[in-house]
Amino acid sequence: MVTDADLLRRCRHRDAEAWNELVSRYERLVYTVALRNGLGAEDAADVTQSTFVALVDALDRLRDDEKIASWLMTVARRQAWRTRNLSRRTTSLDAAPEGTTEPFADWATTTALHDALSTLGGTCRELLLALYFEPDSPSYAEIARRFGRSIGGIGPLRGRCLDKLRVVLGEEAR
Amino acid sequence: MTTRPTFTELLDWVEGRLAGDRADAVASYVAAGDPATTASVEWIREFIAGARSMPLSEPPPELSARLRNVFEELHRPGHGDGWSDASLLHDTRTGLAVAGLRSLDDDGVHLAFDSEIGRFVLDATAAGAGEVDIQGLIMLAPGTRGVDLAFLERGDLRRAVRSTPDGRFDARGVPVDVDELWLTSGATRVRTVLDLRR
Repeated sequence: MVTDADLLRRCRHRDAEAWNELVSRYERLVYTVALRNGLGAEDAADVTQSTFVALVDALDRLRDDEKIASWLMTVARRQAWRTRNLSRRTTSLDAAPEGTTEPFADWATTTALHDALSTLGGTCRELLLALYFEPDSPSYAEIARRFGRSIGGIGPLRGRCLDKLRVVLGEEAR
Repeated sequence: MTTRPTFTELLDWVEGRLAGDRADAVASYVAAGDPATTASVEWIREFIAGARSMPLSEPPPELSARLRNVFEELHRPGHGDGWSDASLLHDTRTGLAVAGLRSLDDDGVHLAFDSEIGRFVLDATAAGAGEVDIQGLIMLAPGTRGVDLAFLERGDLRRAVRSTPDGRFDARGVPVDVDELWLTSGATRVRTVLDLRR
């Protein structure tokens, strides 16, 4: 399994394929954080790009390569706040949108969950994201087709993966 | 059910994937209040609630493409077509100035340029040993939504930032020996030589 730390090491040596893999792993997460902080699609796209540019910028200064998910989420949230504050200053009060409430009931828990998914990595991470984090909740048949597995194997595999995730989260909490 | 349900059985039960006697047996065991089982069920419910509270949205394809391109663009900005040189309009150290541009009266460097992307200004102020903090503004053309900036030293990327949609940018702790700046906005790329030393 190729870990995030492996990919970051390769990115530091200007490996564009490793960068593409990092983008594949995290673009949805970053874009979602931007959207859920009250931005429209265009602003969320800007924030997503800014966040990945910030990652290029910070490659040699990251404190913990294992916690790239929470790092990206935090940068995206900060950038989204800044964008919202900018648009408030340039939007008339009549047209200003309702202030968004904090969309994450427990930010620390949410970021820890995504760091744990990253630690889990591989098929387990992809399977759990597909089963529990996709908006259209794909069927087992669709998941089985996507992962090249039998339908009957999906249930037990997700159980094992989720059990592993719980162990990872427990270890990270200690 | 006399044996403790497995984690997967508990998960199936929580998700309503168990039927008939198996579901009843797991429900009975859970109701009996075994601490480990109760903890597992609670954890599963919390995980599912947490996951469902933040479904992941797919970014538009053009954004995905940009995110993949940005790495190469920042590291190898001189490659490819479509780039042009910015022209220096003002430099506080030389007195080269055009009307309407201010001078800094502290120990900073104030530069202004004209370019295909738009006019831009930057202030560099001493930050630490061998470093400067840079703040700037690009007068973006209507419809342009931000610019990626790459600060290079002898061809190597030292700092990278993206401007805000209104053109402001901020780069902290930039090595003072940075000697080149690239600005990328879509297919338009602009370069300029930089000298940030006092």
